[in-house]
Amino acid sequence: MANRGYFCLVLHAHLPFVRHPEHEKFLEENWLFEAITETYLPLLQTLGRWQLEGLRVPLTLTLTPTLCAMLRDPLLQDRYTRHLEALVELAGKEILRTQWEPSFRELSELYRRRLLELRDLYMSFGRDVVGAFGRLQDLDQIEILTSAATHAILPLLAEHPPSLRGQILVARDEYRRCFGRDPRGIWLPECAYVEAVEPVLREAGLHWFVVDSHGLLNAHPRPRYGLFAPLLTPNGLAVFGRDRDSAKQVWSRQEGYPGDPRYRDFYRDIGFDLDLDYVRSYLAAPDQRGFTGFKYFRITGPTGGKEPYQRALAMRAAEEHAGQFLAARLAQIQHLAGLFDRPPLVVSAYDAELFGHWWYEGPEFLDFFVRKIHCEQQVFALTTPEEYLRQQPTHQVAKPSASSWGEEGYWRVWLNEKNHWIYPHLRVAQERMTELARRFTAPEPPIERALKQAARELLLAQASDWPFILRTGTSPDYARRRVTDHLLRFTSLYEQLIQDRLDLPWLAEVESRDNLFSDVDYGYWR
Amino acid sequence: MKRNKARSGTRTKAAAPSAPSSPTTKRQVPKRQSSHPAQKPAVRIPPLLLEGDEPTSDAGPVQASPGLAPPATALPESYGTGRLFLAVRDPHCLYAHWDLSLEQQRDYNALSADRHLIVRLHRDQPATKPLHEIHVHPESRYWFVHVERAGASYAAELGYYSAQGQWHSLACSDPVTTPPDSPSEDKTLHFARIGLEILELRPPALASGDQEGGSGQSPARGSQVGMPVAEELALPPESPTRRFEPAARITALIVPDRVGWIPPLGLGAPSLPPITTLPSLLAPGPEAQPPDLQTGRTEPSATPIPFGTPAQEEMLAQLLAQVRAQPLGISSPTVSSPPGGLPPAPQEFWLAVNADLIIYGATDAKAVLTLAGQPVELRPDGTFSCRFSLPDGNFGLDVVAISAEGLVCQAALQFSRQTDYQEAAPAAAQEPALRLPGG
Repeated sequence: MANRGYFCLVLHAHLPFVRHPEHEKFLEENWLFEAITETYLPLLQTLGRWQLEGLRVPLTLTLTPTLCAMLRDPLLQDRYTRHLEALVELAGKEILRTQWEPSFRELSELYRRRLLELRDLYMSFGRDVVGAFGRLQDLDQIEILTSAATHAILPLLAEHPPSLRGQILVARDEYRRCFGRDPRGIWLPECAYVEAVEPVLREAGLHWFVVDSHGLLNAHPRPRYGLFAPLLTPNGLAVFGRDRDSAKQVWSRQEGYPGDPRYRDFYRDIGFDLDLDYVRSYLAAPDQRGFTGFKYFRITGPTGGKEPYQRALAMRAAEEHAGQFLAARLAQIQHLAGLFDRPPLVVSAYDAELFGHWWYEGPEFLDFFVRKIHCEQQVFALTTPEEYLRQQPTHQVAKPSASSWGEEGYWRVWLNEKNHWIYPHLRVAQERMTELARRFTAPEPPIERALKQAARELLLAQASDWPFILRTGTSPDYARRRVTDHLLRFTSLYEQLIQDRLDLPWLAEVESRDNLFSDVDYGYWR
Repeated sequence: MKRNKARSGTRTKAAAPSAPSSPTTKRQVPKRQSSHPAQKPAVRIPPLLLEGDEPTSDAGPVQASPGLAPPATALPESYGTGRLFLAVRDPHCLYAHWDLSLEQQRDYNALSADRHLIVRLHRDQPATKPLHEIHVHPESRYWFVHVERAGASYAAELGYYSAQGQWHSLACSDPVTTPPDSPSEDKTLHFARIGLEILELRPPALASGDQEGGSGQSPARGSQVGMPVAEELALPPESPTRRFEPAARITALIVPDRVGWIPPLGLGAPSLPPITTLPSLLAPGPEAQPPDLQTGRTEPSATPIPFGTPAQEEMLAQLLAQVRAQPLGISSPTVSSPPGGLPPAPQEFWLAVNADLIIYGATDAKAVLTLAGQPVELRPDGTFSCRFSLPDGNFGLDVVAISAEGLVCQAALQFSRQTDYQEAAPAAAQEPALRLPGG
């Protein structure tokens, strides 16, 4: 029986570039370490299992250039290895400590087994997480997307086309370096789209991208198939719309699966619960309580009292939710198929870190869902946007609407009272970068190094993460300092280049710190 | 008033004399021309209220990282370029910023009859009659401007009125266009086909000459657990980059054919508008029908409800209306954000009392030690230290040391704990508030 429709799962993995060799330990580096342990390695484990079992699961995954740079960085690899070893050690201590609390003891043993498995997996591919995902792409198991170089909100750079070129073309180059091929699709950071990005996407050889649902629904002319078929833009790019129903089921704060009382509570962690002297050496910052990943309670309910986490109960919940999710997709796709003259496509996109990090049972939910798709229905098949386009190349032509998947659907999260001060500085820096690129066309090696570093500093200052954090208030001092530091370093490089007075020892120090994109082409800013 | 009559455009003024704020709290309410701000005592705004989350101009809270001291330690307050920048925030909000130094701002304020600057908002171009005039605070360098119409072009102009009522323009922004906030009324249908050859799977190629990443100890590709060995694949040399054709050719050739959104009544059968091949994508030619996804056949899929009938159109319209009725964006604040965060702060007074036991001691450094049957690693000097959570109840703990020669020393410990909470304090109250993942 032919499939009546298609389902495309898109996971977007991103972290800002956080690397501080000047400190022995750095709190915000833990963002990466937590994501590796809780999301990237479990995802690789799950994908590897599907591969071994012969389950074809076309999955679309973004690995942003900053995330790839960190995952491939030897210093961060060393630090993560130490972090993982420390967690294994802590697990051993926890098994002893919970001797008289059987439910916690069982969990600490589970954590230890899990950590040892992940450590074996990590070491088995030489700590090269990016390479491991790349091999799955080589085997046609997943499709890896690129994103903007430092996850900048592209519509907020649209008035300066060289900045758009810098973000997209540097990302394309990094993708080639990481995966040995050209990227086909791009995840626009935060799904933030304006038409001005399209010429650069074309220049980069990209074929398709995803917008949030209203980006497609408000397209001009009106899209006949709503969200459930891609559009082709007049510039020749394919654009897919994020489905709201499936997103809401998983992601909604009020109704989403991760809030089920049987799932593990994210916030209740021994890093906050236990004696500071005991957990201190396992914390990212020794004098500041934080997460260790050892969590013994389930969400339980809306009150303060928490009950011990029961793994079996949580697994039943994950299976139930996977079943509900499948039933909802079956109903959705069957209904759509009855209306359309072509198989409908449902594109369901999430932050990858939702699965495993925020929602501990997320990888198991995915596993149950995929197995149910294969075993319990024949209505729809999994696909990737690329695969779908290959099979269904004819689509309506329309211009998508400017939009993002952020709060309220546009750029409010990244441009508001708390973070607007960034943009005037960026604007000046961007124009200065273009001035430098035009001025130095065939520079000597030291000048070329300074130009490349200026490009890196500008890219880092443009990251969407800093205004996001300033808005949410999670680490505002750090975000403010990062923007300021990168802009100051850029300005210093600009002045040194203009005045022909390079401070080479200082340049070397900056290069050693902000060391991503080693081959960045500053000519993109001309 | 004569002077006011000399002014062009509609004048509006911010409703509240406070620091610049979002359009939800500061709408430009049209005000009668008779109230002139220069004739009123200036409202003094506490500097604290004018502070956003931006860094101060001195070194203050924004310090450079240790060990790396750039020549400056703080960003300048402005660059004095005198330019006006306008950006879109959403369909109904623009962000205007003007780059004036403190001195420039002071000088212009002194020249202004209002003692502050004015931002004019124009449709399309500054040459047009302004839609609004926004009187900004003397210290302001930015404003979030509310606009009524989505999907429209706007431009901003910065200036002031002289004492003679003459408008002096200081800077004009480039025009910007707000996104639409509703579906297009244009229901034209035009189809095109993406070229199949550009979507062919290109075989993977190994990255060449890339020594930057990795730890330097990577094993052969594909040796990890659960991952097939990559060397089993035939890996041809790196494929060339494909590029699109120049944009000018494409836009010229895809002028859509105008066809109705809803096919004429009574057609019943599927009716697709003409298909054009997007020239950039080099497709071999138009097809009569799009191919079926699964089979690749070109016949249309069988559909229970004939496509294009009024019933089908109505169902489709209802479906899309349901989709559109949902809120925009993602409800979780964790969109693509770094993980981490802090647990929610306790909301009520509370008490948590827990007890851990620390069992420590020493034995021969070569001995094997177990506590409660679990092996414990000895330090090089033979000492050990272990921690046990002690909940309420009675517990026993056996400590056994076995020397390298097989001699055994052991100890049996007994512990008891009883906790009586005097009030309704929970036994484990560190987490008083539930927060959903991502919430």
